[in-house]
Amino acid sequence: MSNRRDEDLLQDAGGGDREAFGVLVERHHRAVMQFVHRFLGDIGRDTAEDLAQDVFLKAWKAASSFEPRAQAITWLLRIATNTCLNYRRGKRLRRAVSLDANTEADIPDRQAGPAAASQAREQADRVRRAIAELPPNQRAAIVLRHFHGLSYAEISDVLDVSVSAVESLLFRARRTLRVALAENETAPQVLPGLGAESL
Amino acid sequence: MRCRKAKKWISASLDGELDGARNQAVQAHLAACPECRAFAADLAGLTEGLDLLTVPEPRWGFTGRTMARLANPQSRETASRGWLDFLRPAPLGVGAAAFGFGVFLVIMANGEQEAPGAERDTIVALADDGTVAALLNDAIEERLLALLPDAEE
Repeated sequence: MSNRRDEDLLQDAGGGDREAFGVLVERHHRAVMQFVHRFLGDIGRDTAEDLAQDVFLKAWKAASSFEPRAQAITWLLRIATNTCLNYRRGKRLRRAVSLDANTEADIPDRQAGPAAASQAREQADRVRRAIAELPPNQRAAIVLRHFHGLSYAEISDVLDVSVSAVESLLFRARRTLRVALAENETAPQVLPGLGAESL
Repeated sequence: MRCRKAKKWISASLDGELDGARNQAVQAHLAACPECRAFAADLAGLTEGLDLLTVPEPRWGFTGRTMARLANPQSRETASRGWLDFLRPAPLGVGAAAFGFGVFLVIMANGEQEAPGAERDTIVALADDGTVAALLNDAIEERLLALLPDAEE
C-alpha cells in the first residue's frame, strides 16, 4: 500500500477505501498544513491543522471525481487554496498580519542567544507580513513555487489559470515583495543588495 | 527588448521556466542593461529572504485525528484542544471508574440494608481469617494442576 502512487491511492479512496486515503493523508498532511499556514500567514498551528483536516475531508468527499491524469498533490493543493480563500472570506481577516499571530513556527535557535532569536523572529514576521499583503493569486503562486517547488504548469493546474498567467503572477508577486521588504529599514540585513531604485 | 518584459522573463528565468529563445533574449538584455542586472540580483536575494519564513510542523497523530473525523464528520477531533490533549484517553477511563464506583455503591447499599444473618457472618468470618483466600488458591492450584501433563505417565 505504501509503495503505491498517489493517484492510484486517490482513485481507491474514491471507491471508499479508507486505508488508501489514510496513506495519502500520512504522505501529504505536512505539505498541506504548511501551505495553509504560509498562505494565510496570520494563523496559529491549531488553525492550520484544523484547516488542513478540512482539506482532507473535502478531498475524501470529492475523491470519486478525481481524474487520474491529474497529479494528486496539485489536486490537494487546489482544494487547499480554495479552503484558504473561503476561510479568509468567512473570517474577514485583515490583510495585514498581526504580530501576535506569531506561532510556534518561528521558534528561534535558542542557542544563538536572545538577541539573534529576536532578530530572526522579526525578520520572519516581516516576510510573513509582506506575503500576506499580496493579492490571493499572487500569494498562492509564490507559496506554491517557492516553498512547494511546483512548476509553472503545476501551479497553473492548481490555480486554474494559464502558464503565461502564472508567469505574470510570480513576476508581480516578486516585484511587490522586493519593494515591500526593501522599504523596511532593516531589509539590508535580510536581503543584501536590495534597493528600490530599479522599479 | 523593453525592461518591463525583460524583468518578467528574468523572474521566469530564475525559476528555470524560460525556453531557449526567450532565455537568450534575456541574457542579451542583461548584458546591456545594468538596471535589469540589479533587478535580477535582487530577485535572487529575495529567495534568500523568503527562506526566513518558517512554518510549524503538524502535531503527532494528525493522520489518526483526520481519519477519526472522516469516520465521524460531526466530531472535530482537532489539535485545537492543545493543553487538553492529556484528557483524550479519558472517556474510557472515566466510564470504567464510574461503573466501578456504581458497583461499589450498590454493594455498600445492599450491605447496609441486609440484615446480619448467619450466612453473612460466616462469609465475613471466612474472609477475615483468610479462608476465602485459601479456598480460592486451592481452586486455582487445582485448575493449574489439571492443565499440566500427568506426572505419572
